[in-house]
Amino acid sequence: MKSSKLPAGARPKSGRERRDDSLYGYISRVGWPIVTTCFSLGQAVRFVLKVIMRSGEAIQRPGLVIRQLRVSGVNTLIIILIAGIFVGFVLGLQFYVLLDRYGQVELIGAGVALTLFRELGPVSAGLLFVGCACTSMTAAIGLKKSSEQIAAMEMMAVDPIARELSPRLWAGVIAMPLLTIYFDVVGIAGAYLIAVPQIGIDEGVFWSVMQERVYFYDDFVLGVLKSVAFGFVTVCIALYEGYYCVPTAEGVARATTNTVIKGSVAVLGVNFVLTAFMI
Amino acid sequence: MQLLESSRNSIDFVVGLFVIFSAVAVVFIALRAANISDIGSGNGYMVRVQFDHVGSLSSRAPIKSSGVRVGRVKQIEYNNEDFVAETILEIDKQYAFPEDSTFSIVSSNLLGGQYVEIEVGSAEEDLKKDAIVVGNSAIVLEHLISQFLVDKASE
Repeated sequence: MKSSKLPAGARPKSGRERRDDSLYGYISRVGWPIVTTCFSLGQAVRFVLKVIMRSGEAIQRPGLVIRQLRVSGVNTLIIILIAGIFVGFVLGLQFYVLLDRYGQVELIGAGVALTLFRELGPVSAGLLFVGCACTSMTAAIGLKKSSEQIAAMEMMAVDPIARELSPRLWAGVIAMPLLTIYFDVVGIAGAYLIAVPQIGIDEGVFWSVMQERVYFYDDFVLGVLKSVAFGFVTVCIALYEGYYCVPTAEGVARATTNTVIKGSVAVLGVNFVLTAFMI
Repeated sequence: MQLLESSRNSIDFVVGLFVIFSAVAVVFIALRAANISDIGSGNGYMVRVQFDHVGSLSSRAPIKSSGVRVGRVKQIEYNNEDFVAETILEIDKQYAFPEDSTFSIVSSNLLGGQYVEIEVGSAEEDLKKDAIVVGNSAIVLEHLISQFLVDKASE
């Protein structure tokens, strides 16, 4: 009644399939989520290591990475720019309301820049990246799997991990910080449009206060470094979900949803851990 | 336009633009939004200044003379031999001050942070690298109030 050993690469069968009312059944229903979590976590780590180990081809043929950079970077850029400018508008307005209470309205530029560089830029860009680029990666890999293109590549002695997955991983790691930089710049431009023409803060004061209070390394570079980590983690999740999805239409759909859920939570969780280390 | 004919080249072109514009964005941030001159030290000389009380002075706070920024506070530590606070100030190397200049910690405004103000002295000799100077401490509001109360009580 219990499978003592699982075949390599297979997920354990769901414990809910049989309803065992004995004591053994209760215990196994409690233990089941733990076992499956450990199982998929180990599988994911092994998978990520495999993808990293086989990135030699991606390095030798940069064209593969550039093509994925077009998909995950350039195609996400539009939503990053639009979201960034609106976030900048809102930050400008909110900082105006906040700082006006303390008579420090001229700090608006510094406040917006610090908020964007340290937190909002990397995190918002990360969440948008999960929603836009990572989902498309999961769907692409999952569809290739369900239409047996991955099996066909293996038949032709082409390594699907080296050919399809590694370039996506490195493209994501490169694209994410670049997108964060775009988000930061556009956000500041949005705040400028609110603060200077709308509210009437002096342009020179806006920039000079920002320059005085914002540090290039402590605030900006550390934020960009955070986004590199976001890119790595979210793309790993996306590739794992796509590669191990159930090869049906429904399975791909579920994998895409899982990518969004796990990727967003991972961005927020990793952000907390990194921020705690960097402060 | 021949360059753009094949789809492979157009992908390269678009990705190239993407990377170039992000580099431009970094330059914009470095020059306009953040203070790139803070990267890396070594473009100034260090002066050790001892204060009885540093107040809320923090490292990287500006050092000003006549209101112009001439350097930044590099480090604040406690000197356990003399029992005073010791700050290491990094003054930009293009500025030299007479060796009897006085260093004081003052507030930029009622809410804002504190900075170190250099009042220029009249000595012929310039302040040397790694010199140790005693500065005027920050004004602590609690000390002022207690002083005021003691004075009132003694009247």
